Parts: sequence; structure tokens; C-alpha cells
Amino acid sequence: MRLKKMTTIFSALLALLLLPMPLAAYDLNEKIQLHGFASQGYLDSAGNNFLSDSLDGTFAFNEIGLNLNLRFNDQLRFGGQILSRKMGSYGDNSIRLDWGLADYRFQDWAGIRAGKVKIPLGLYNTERDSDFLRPMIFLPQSIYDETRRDTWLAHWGGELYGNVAREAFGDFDYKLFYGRIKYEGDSVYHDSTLDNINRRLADNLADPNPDPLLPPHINQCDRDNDYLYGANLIYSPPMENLRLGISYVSQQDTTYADNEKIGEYKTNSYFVLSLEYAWRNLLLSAEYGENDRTQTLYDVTTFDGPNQAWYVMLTYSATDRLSFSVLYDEYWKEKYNKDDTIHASGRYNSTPWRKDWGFGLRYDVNENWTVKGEWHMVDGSALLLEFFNPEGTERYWQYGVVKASFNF
Amino acid sequence: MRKPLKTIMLLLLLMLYGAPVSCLAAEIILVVNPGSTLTGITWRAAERIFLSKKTEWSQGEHIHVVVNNNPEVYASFCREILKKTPQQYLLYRKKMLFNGSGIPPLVMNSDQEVKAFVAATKDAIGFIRKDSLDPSVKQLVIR
Repeated sequence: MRLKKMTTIFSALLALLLLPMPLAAYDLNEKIQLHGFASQGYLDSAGNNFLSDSLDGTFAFNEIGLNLNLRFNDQLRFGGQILSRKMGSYGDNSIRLDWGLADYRFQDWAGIRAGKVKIPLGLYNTERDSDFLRPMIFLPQSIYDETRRDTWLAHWGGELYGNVAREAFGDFDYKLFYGRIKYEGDSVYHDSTLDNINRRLADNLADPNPDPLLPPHINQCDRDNDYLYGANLIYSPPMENLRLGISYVSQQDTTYADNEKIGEYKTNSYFVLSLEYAWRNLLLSAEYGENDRTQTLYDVTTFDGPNQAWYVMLTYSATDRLSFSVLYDEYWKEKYNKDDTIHASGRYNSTPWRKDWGFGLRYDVNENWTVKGEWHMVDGSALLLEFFNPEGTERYWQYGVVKASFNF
Repeated sequence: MRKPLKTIMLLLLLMLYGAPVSCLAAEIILVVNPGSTLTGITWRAAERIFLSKKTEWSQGEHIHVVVNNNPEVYASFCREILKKTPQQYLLYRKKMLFNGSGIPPLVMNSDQEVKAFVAATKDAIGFIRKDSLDPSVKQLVIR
């Protein structure tokens, strides 16, 4: 029954994709541009739930975005993008401001943007919700952890940016930013934090010597961001299609339970080193990152120290429309404690690592339509949320996605 | 992997089997307004202009860039001048739009449209087939 339904939906989608589509011409002129995108995916997994109740398969995986740019003069631009998304039971297709800013470019080497600005972490964080801009549907989770999307998506503040070029040495794109994050109430991370705190409180109650100062249960959990700042530098040396990058970011959140402060989450330093090289029809991407973070809850430090994340992705474009990608993505929760045996932390059976082999293909029907599919074979359950897997996790698991996107 | 997902992946692979391959080539030149005093430009500078990293000529005038979307001309320009695949350059321009970092160059669909825009716009730059060159625009040599 389910297979029949899936096949019918997918066949209808294919028929729609193959209809001749006139190229949208919304570049009204150099002053005003209106663009947008819409995508629909299907996510399925075996072994563990990933970002949603994916063990049962889910179509609750879509994005719709619309953006408008107004160029006031050669230096000044105003722009914004609204986004509606659904990922499992989150997002609910409510309309939110994805980014919105005023951009004044004094010179090629110096400009300023103010408003809600995307955080330039690594090579691909700024296009996180527009999967048609990259070879695979999911960004490598070790660096671009989808459960922490709200933390690293965008900030309210400003950034200085520019491009500094020297003919003999290539050019540098730089960004320096400062601002604050405004967290949405309905986020995976928010709800999983509430769930984790209540599990700790329940453990405390069950302890033979419980801490009498801890409440038995909390009803509400909130985070306020105190600050966020960082820098991003991309160097394009005098060599065709090579980009080298370094990103740095630091931020601090205060955590509240039922309106009382209970702790802090601080990113002491998060750096990502990046490399991207295109040679003929091959595109190589590799990034390495360490996030040194500290979390305290009820005066107990729940973790303190750097994680370690890296990936290598190779994409081969067989034609201008068709490409294949292979990804190896590795994450360690604690850089200096790589115990490779499965260990139980509390009742939640988890591994401190995640090793993901991903295989994807992408087909661009035309400039506007893209279809993609990928599957991943994973060893390790780090980054998986107990929230979605209350009965514990499997060490070896898989997930697969297909997605169709339209943009104009 | 669940059975519906396997079926979808199989259908996708079957569709990809018939994917067309493009292997066209044309000799491409850069063109500017006939009133421009420029005669040549380095490859690096040309690349930075079409990647929207360089937005001003040396005297400070804003550069008005136009991309020729004729499939043959566009593919040759990407491969010969930008050293990218057509898809890579398309995605580069779309990233600017959707991540809020800027407005990509205007897009026009033929040599004639590009020439008309460049001829009418001081400080404009575009690219066309070499055999489409006429006095309405001026060739900018890549040094």
C-alpha cells in the first residue's frame, strides 16, 4: 500500500519535472530582483530515528523560500528572504525571516551588512536551507550538525566584509561579524534540551541520595544568546578553482528553566579549516573543525572540551546535468577521549563517534529543477538525539533521502 | 533501507540513464562599451569581475556585468575563461542570491541582447562569440 502511494507520488513528480518549463525571467533589471525556491523530500532510515520519526519514513521534509533584492544605488542594497520549512514535527511551515539586511559596499575591499545576516561558518553554512546549491541533500553532519541549526544559522547584528586582491598572490574574501542569535521557540535542540534536563532530574529523584536543591521536573526551557562573534577568511590563490578557508566563531547562551537561570552553554572557540578544489569535472571538498564548548546545568559541568569533526567529499560531474558524490564524514564527541568501545552514559546507549559513508546523485533537469537522491551508512550514534530515540540507539544504521527542488 | 526508497532511487537512476551530454564549443571574447578606454584585462581581473568580487573599474566606476545565457556561448565562457563547468558557475551565482551576499549579474539570452546592453551602458562588460563582434561594442583582450 505504502509502496504504491510512494510510486504514484514520485511518478507524478517526474511527470511534472519533465514538462517544458520556460526559464523564469524575474531579473526585472539591475535594481530589483525577485527569486525563490521550493523543495520536497522524503526521508527514511533503518536502525535509528534521524531528525524526525524517520524509521517510519516521512514526507515532512520541505522548504519554501522567497527573496527580494533592491539595489538603491551602486553601493547600497536592501534584501531579504522569507523561509517556510518543515523537518519532521518542526518548522510546521510557518513563515519566518531567513535573512534580511542592508548592504553598503564602500569599495571592493570594504563593505558592511547589517540586519539578520547568515553566519559564515565553513564553506557552506550560509546556504544551509537551499540544498539545490550543493551536490548532496544533507551537508556533512560532523561540521553542519542539523540538530544545532538554530545556533549556527544567522545572527542579528552586522558584518564587515570585502575582497582584497593582489594579482600575484590571488585574492582574499574576509568577513568579521558580531551579533546575537534569536532562538525560535520550536526547535529540535530546544525540545531535546528540555527532555534531557527532565531525564537528569528524574535520575536525581531516583538516586539514593538526591540533591534536595534540584526541582523534580521543569515545564519550560529557554535559551538566550548573550553574544556571538567571529571571522571567516577564504583565500583563492593564483591557481584555478582552489579555495582555502578558515572560520572562527565564539558565542554564549544562558539557559533558563521555568524562567530561572540554570546554566550556560559557551562555545569557547569553534574553528573550521576548509579546502575546495575543482579540477575538470571533479570537485573535492574537505573540512576539519573543532568546537571547544562548555555546558553547565545546575552548577554541574555536563561537558567541557573540544569535539573533532572532518569530512572529505568528492563529486564527479558526468555531464553538465548529472553528478555523483561520495562522502566520508567523521565526528568525535570528545577529541581527547576517543574510547572506541561502546559505552553507556546513563540509560542511553550511545557511542562517542559517528562515521558516515554517503553516496549521492544529482540530476539537474534544467536551470530550475533539480532531483537528488542519497543514502548513508553510519557507524556510531553520536549527534543522534535521545529525544527521537528514547529506547536507545543502534550502532550501525542507515538513512536515505530523495528530494526534488524548484528554484527561479 | 526501506523498499519505497529503493524503488525511488531505481527510478531516478533509470531517468539519469538518458541524460543528454553537451559538448559544444565556441570562441568567446569579452566586450565593453565602445566609449571605454580599456583595451585589455588580465585573466584574474576578468574572473573576479564575473564572480562579482571586483565591482569597480580602476577609476571607481561601477561595473555593469551581463552574462550571456546562450547555451553554447555560456558553456564555452565557463570552461575557457572561468575554468569552471557551466553548472558550477550557475550555482555560484545562485548562492549569491539565496545566502544574501549579493545580486548576481544580469542574464541575457543571446549575443544580440548582450551587445545591445553593452552598447547602451557605459561601464558594462559582457561576452559574445568572436564572430558576432561588430562596431556597436569593443573587444577587451585578455592578457
